[in-house]
Amino acid sequence: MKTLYRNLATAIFLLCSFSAQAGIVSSQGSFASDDDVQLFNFSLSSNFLFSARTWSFGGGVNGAGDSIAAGGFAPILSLFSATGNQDLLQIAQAGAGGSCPAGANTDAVSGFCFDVGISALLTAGDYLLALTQDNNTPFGPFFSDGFLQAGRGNFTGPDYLGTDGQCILVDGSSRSCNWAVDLVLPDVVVNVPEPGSLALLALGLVTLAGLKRRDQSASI
Amino acid sequence: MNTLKGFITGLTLTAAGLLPLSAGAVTAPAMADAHTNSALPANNFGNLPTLNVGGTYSSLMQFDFASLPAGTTGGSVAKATLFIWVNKIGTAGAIDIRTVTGPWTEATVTQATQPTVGGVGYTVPVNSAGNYIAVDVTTDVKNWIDAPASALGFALGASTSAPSTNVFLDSKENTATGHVAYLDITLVGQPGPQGPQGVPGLLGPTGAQGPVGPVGATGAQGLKGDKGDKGDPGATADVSALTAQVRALQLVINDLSNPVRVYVANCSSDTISIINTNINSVVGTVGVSDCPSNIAVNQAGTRAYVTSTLASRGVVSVIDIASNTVIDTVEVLGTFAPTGIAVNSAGTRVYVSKGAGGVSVIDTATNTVIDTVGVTTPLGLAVNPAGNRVYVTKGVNGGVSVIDTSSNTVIGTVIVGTLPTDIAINRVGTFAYVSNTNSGTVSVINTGNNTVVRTVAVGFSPRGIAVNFPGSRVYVANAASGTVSVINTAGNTVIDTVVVGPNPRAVVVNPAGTRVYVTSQDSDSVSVIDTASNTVVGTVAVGDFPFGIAVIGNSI
Repeated sequence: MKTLYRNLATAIFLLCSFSAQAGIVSSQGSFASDDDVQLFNFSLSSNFLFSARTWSFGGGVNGAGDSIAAGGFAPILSLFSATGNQDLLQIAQAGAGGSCPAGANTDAVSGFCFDVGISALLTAGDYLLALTQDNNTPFGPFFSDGFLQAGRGNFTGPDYLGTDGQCILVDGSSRSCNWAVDLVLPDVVVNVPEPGSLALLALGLVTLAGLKRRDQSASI
Repeated sequence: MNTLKGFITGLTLTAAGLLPLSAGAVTAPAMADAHTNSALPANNFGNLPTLNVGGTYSSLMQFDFASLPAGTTGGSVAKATLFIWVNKIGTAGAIDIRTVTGPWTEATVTQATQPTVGGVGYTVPVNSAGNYIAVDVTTDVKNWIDAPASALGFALGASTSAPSTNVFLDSKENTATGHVAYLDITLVGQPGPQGPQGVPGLLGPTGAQGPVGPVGATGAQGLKGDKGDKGDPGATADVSALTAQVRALQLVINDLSNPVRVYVANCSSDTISIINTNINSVVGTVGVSDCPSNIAVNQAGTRAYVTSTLASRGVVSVIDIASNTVIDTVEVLGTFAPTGIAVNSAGTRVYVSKGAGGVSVIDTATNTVIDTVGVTTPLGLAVNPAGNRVYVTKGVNGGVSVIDTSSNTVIGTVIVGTLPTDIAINRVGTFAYVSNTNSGTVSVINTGNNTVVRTVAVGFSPRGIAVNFPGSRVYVANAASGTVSVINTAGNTVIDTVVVGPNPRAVVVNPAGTRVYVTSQDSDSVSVIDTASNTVVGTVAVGDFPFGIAVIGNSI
């Protein structure tokens, strides 16, 4: 069952992917909806001090040497194991106080340093990093629990401004929906899916549940 | 009133600090709160989930005193403390708190209609998010109780001493975290809570030897024998040694008839493995659907309760231990998969944490949910021996919530490390031990005053945690290190580290304290630790992806 789960997850994430052999893997994109969840799936063949960070809130030059504009939404990075129950291992949230990674810039408009960084000594295995927007935290201790704002679409406008709006900061100001993330990895293949809502995740989990049942039936 | 007070600097509680929970305290929650924005002076923001302070924002909050006993006066108040949860820090600094002197309502207040306020009563530094700030507001609360019409609340703004401050606090509408601002009010002369049950006495002395039995019937006369040599004097009978042997034999017989058994929830194979610890082998299996993850047994050893993590409705299976069959399933309210479970010592209540969705209370007489307590992202649960408190770790939201089981309400929060996951309480209920998965630490909570008295560094990603029967050792499963840390509770220091199977998750100690059992999720097995040598003396293969673990039976 565990193998099925891992293979299924990988199949989902391979919808859009690229490979990298460098230490730093840089990615950029834009959220279509506030409740989008951008997933990065990676594997480690041995113990490794993994780290990841965002650049899009305060701007800067990412690991690929690209200039990233400031003005993006406030990010959250959540690290999960990609095996078994897919446990939540670590989370970094904008505005947590002290979460701004070294070298990050303070955004000139808001005056906040809301980019986030995550770092963890990981054993060999499969992992999943999720990028979400502020206040869209994991909904429980497992990846299968989903995320807090799933299904609410553009939730930041109603929550932070009291009116419709997308990519609104907690102080009520408008931001872009752009994101830029660096992952520091050993020689691995990183699978980057299209940004999407939890509908894709839910599809995978439903399929998984079906496969699990079928697997159990076959073994009886 | 505020002029007389002048500046009072509030006490800031950091994540590493303490959140006191007053004995016999009454809670007055915020009944109205809102922020206003000078950039949008005509807009009302009363229904938003944050209270913004700084920049163009200031905030208001007013409290509900309905929980105070009838006849309470200002003189009845020994202390009143304001607790406010810091959600985010834009720019750290300090906030000024003023008493509100004019009327306002949450649904209508705007920047343009802001009420009048008094002078600065309190200045509170705010330097970190994800924790409460606490301010002693006794004088104002005394005045409000004596003159209820004046209880119009507090106004919060960036401090004039730190004008760039920009912070975001939880409002009562923030259902994601549920950290509503509140007043903790201690009344004079209230009795303290009942103390924990005392330790049972030592084993009594051996009873007196029984009377001599009746003389038997005379046997047939034998043949006359040869005269023998004079014999040596006989040995004196060792009654005490004989008594000990008989007792040991009886305990062995008891254990053979009712052995200590370990129940293991195997998530991916949808089974519960039953291990006979005499032979360290699986002697039975119970089917439980939808990824059984956590398991708890009642003290009588008659029922086991198992959460199913994948269950879309949130289901707890009830296992009859005598027959090892599922005799009932309890659908917990809400849509969140259950994650943690605990039974009170009387066996009358089961408490179930439901991911992000609260703690369900199950009446075991009817196996129905009779209440749900609002706790966000609850994970591990533990009930104190008296059964009047439940401690709940809050995972990604941080902290440990303390539930009063008489009212099934949260009466306080203890700040611990990052991602608190599991919790265990010693047998006499004096200390609780919390595994902080992202901090790599264990927080030791004195349950007498609900404060953290020590933080112990352990391995990477500590998860499952257990205390032995005398309370002298705590065992912590470090998932990322593949080890179990052994903590001596006398000094709260790690005295040994035991390498176990990969990705250890849950841990349990047998009643005699001689063996520790640890689920290893990546090797589908349970490691058996001898606590005398702190070495692994056995490995038992169980089902696929073992998760929770519980122990049933008598000690040898």
